[in-house]
Amino acid sequence: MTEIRTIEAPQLHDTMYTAQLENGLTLFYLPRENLSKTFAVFATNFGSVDSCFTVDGVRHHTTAGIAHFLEHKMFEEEDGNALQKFTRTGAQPNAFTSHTMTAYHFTCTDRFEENLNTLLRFVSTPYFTDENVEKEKGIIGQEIGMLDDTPGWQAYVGILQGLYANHTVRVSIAGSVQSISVIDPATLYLCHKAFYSPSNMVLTVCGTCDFEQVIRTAERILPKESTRIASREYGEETRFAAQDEMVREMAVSQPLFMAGWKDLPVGADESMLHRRVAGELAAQCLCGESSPLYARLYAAGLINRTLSADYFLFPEGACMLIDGESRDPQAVRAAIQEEIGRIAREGVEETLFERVKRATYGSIVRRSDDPSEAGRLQTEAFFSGGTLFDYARLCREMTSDEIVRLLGRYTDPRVSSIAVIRPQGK
Amino acid sequence: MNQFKQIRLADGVRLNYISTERFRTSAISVAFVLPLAEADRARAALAPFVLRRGCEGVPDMTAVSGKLSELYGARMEAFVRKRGEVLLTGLISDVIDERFAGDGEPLTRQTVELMCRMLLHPVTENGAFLQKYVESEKNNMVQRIQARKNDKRAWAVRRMFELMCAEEAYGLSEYGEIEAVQAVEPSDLYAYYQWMLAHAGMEIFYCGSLKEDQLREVFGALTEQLPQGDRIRTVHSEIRRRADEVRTVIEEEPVTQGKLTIGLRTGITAQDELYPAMVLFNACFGGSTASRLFLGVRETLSLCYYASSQTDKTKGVMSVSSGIENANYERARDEILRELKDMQDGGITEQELETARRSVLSSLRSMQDSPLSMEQFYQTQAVGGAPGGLDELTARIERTTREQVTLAAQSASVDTIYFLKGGAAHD
Repeated sequence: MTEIRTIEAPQLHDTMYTAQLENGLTLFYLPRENLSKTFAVFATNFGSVDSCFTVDGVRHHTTAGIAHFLEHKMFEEEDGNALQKFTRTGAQPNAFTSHTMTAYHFTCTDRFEENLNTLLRFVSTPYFTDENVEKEKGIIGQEIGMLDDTPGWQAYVGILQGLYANHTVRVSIAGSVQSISVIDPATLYLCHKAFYSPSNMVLTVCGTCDFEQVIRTAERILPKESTRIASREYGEETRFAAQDEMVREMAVSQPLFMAGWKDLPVGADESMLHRRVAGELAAQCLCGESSPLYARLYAAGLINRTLSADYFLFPEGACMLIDGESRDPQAVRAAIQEEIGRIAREGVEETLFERVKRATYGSIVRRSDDPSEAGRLQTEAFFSGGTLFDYARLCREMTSDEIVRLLGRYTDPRVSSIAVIRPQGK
Repeated sequence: MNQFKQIRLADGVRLNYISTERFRTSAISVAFVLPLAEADRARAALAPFVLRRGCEGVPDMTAVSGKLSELYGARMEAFVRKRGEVLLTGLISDVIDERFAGDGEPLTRQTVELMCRMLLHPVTENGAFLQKYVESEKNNMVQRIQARKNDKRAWAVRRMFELMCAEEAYGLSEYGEIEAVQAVEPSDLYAYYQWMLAHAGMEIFYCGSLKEDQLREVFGALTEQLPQGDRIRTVHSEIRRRADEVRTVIEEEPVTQGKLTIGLRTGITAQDELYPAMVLFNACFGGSTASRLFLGVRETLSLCYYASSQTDKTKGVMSVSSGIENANYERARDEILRELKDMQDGGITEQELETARRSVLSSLRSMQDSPLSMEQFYQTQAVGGAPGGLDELTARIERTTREQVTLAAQSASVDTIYFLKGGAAHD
């Protein structure tokens, strides 16, 4: 019998359970037995950045958009479409592909076991034919067309291209109509074999379930052994941004921007989760809603409440990203750069730092009230080497010195870049 | 499941609440209720954004953000909503329960108090709102109105209703017009807000761990300080049961993908006997991943990247929203209308209905898991004069027959077909 370990978080009044199967799969159960719905997410550590890898002694270079394409195709089964199996029970299934992971999930209020079976089966059973792969190219082509029309997305792709010269993160998650045109069943089977193997995945249930039963179901359905991925390559990077600025015109009413500051990748002796928390708190201290810079920019009419700051962590890379709408994005960028310099010299005010920590901790509590948010947070935390509870704890324990040190790495303007989407013809 | 209660705090002021310890967060909202047609929309919409800027003791944005951070990142936002022909504006907040803060501070009570202070004691100068707050929120509002065009998917639906209901209040924007926003002065905005405080209907919502006596105390303090006046009790929405004739409008925008939206009149609102049947018809038609639009038009025919339908239960209208290749306009339109016709002719199968029923029941149960979802549901119920809560609606959905769903389908008549066509100007 697989051993179940209990993890307690007294301050959060919360408990979670975890287990690891012999095939390497990790499972988590976060009880929310007071609620009606249950959320399950089955995720693989495989995102759009993982396009170059070595498996069984062979190095593969796959085309842009392959992870996202695979996500779409997984729902197709020999006896129909997995979506419909979920829908018949009233469950709401969905999936997403990010730069760093692919996740399949459902929410249900009834017949959890049946839905879990469907989830584990379809994600572990590839079924690709020339015909169904060709058909999908049309559907994904339309999705890419929609992304082409989404200004915020274009700014996001733009800033990653501005910051990174070679890293695969600079390629849009869905790829392009051209890049996906070469996808065939053989490549999809290869990626499935390499990355959808139990030791590269995590199953998280949040809501109400019999966890021992979940473990037995996973043991019964999933493969007994895992494929070993020898290595993944992302592309060489320098310390500086590839490009200072990217400007595009689109159908928007006022300019929107995303500015980025390139950070050092997480070192071998550093915790990813720790870095993530430090990065998020640093971004909030710099220009979160309670920061002096935010108040100044808002009062000057340079930003509105859409301004948001985040920290983005991925294999062999990390950056702080700040996006919003502004009549003068360059002025916002300059003000942020100046504030980085000031904080690096003078430090962060302790009252501000404490407030930011409280607010971030509060947002974790709030998000963990919703099974789907909690399940997602836990999955992300796991791929960063911890749990949702560690995330909340680190948030309380962080010191302002670490924030200042992190921001100190951004004082040279050459590590930054900006992507601006401007209204047409202005 | 969640015991919903409604109490009258004063004439025209109602508290809608659920007292429960199921959640880690509480949700609170205070809404001013006004008729969309007669209200000064620009001022009614602008007021809560100005209130959010500061109040006595918490006078500016930094102080407000600092206070909210101390309340463990409580959120406090201005909102403007259109429900049928009812305009709702006010403040909404959510905050974590004190059990999870660890230092015993009464977070919920402090959050409610902050909200009440923003509503009753805004920062003023010479009997008016602060000029600089008003000017900056006017600018933000103008940008917000302009920015609605950025999201083409939502914009196409909004534009369609604007055209379809050009002669009804429903066609009006809840934010008012840009020129009207620009003309607002701090003194007339303040005067209008004082009028709202005395005369608008008020719907208060609370979901969290406070008990009825505590709620009466904190919100009683609010109602006691409200100016006296005759309040608006209910606002009726004009219901047109059938469309006169089908109208088609095509407009061009420099985007890659076209957006096809269709507006229908059903005449069925949340007050109707047939309302649960309408909910199920919508789920069968385009409201779920098992629907005709999703399965037939999107998946099987690959005509759309997305295709779905929604209803407004206060106005008795429905919209179909889809994203298509420009060249597929006619085929997609014909397929959507063909599915509708088939369902009106009794084509809904028992299996289809049961799938839709499960999906609807599941989402109703899920709503009970979220204080913010319940806030939306109960506020809409309250202003729409609709009877009962989530439990009752659930029970009615369980009893609805296929014949009733077909009747609901037959009530839908196409009014306006709006195609936002992608133009060649795109690079």
